[in-house]
Amino acid sequence: MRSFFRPSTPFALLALLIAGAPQAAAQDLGATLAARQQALPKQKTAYLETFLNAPPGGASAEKDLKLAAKVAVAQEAPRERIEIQPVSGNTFGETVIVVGNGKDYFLVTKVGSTPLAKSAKAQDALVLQALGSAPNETAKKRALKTSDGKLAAVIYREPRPADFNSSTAFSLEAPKLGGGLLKKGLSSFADSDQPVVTASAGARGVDEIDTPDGKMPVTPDSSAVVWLEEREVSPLDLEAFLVAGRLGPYAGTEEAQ
Amino acid sequence: MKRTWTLSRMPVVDPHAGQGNPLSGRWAPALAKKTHWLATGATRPLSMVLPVLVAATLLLTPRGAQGQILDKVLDAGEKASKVAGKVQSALPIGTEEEIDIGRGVAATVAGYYKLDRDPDLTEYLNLVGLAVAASDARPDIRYRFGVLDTDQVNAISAPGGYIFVTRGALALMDDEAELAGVLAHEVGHVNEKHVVNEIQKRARTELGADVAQAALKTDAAALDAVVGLGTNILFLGLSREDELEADSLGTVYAAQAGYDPQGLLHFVQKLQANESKPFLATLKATHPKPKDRIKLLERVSSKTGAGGPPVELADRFMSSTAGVPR
Repeated sequence: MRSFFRPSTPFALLALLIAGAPQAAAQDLGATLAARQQALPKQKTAYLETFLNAPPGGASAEKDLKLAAKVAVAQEAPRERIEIQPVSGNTFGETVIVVGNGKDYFLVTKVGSTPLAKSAKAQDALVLQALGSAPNETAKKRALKTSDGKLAAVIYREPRPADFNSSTAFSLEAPKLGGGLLKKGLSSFADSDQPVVTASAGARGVDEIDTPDGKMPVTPDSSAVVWLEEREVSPLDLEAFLVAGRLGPYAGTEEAQ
Repeated sequence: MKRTWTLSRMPVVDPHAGQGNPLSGRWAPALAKKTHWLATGATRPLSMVLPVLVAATLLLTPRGAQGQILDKVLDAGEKASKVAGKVQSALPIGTEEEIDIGRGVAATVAGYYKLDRDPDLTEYLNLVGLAVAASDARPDIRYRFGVLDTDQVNAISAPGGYIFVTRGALALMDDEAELAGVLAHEVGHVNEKHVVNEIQKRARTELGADVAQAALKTDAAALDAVVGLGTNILFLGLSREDELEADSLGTVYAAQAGYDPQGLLHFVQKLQANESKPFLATLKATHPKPKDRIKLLERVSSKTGAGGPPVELADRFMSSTAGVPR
């Protein structure tokens, strides 16, 4: 397991951040973004990162970390799109979208875009952590350590097929339904952007069906459907389930110490 | 009592785990392209149905004949796309209509077999189901998984993401990888809209032009008729091609989630071993023969790595399904 703590690089922003110096980290934003530009792959690339972060002061083992965010990235130098979905309470919060067009990085919102450096998100710890994760990293899993050797965070990276539409992915307008990249991986438990499911007469079902044994009478059970719909799995429970089974982003890895 | 899956649970992997791509081998590119893409506002292209059909066909074909088969499959696919386009225009079914139809079909399924309302078992089923669905989740629906209280061995997917597995099927399984494979197979049906496509094909001939052109959101009678058609399609069985495509997709989805890609294969092998048992009567009548499925699954699973040692999670499966009589 290798540490990503390399203070000499602009990506040391992340280490500073985790060490509890967000102001200093923010001052390095320009250098970090410039370094990202340098590291962007020329060919289309996409990946999804999972951030497990330690509480302040660090942790002694991965089991003490908590899911902090999912980050989806699409790149094609000099452009890239970064979507950060932070954990908020027991679910995921609103997605933060950052787009780099080769000249500058922008925060993309539902009402338009603004230079990232001029927005409040430039001070956001998770945004800085996402930007500080080098584009050209290839490790499936990275453990980040604090200066005193404790575990600060573990970042899992999964490559994703890069068959995105460049004109859409790098647009400075929010996608119609929001979410964009993240929607593919997280839609099953996202709270927003879902079509409104309206009960209708059809939802009650039918009272006779054809089976291989002939027509059979049925008493439809709409209450069963409602009961099922009420059984929501929280994204954090799902993440813990994946961690426990070493599935999803954690497949093929072992716990960091 | 609500269970929690804590981060402190012990990992169930080999410490010498590899870090390779979960998809590997000759057929991986086609299947990967089919099953795993990022959508940045783009719609799912109809042509994406083809790669798995092509992959499945090629997997069953001697190498020397693959070139000709490929051409034929692509030609057939193009023709099918054009036909499907015309059929779809006769009965437009968007996501909202699909979910409405799915709710009706699910209510009928839950009425025919009783829904098992065990919250812990249902939560476990949803966790496994969401784990495999995440590898290629449709952004426009929510996937919901429920247990049917019957000894019959079966799994059913209604449109819109309503997926069921029977207690009989759970009783036949030995580990979570088998469950993941079965649920992933059903997710494959939902993602490819197999039932919806079949409804669209049959609506005009079986329900008449009036129903086929009705606005399902406002015409309750037409929606009822379509729900009935969808339910009958499920109970009488989808096409052999749809089932084999779902087998291929299910294997890939499960592997991408990190499960043993042979989970579905192991389950179908049990179906074959129990072929004469009465609890398999429904499944036998609605699915291709196990030996045909096994032939395909052996090939697909052998070419689909899980990115590490096979994860089967037998202990977690057994403790989570302890209430299921075996």
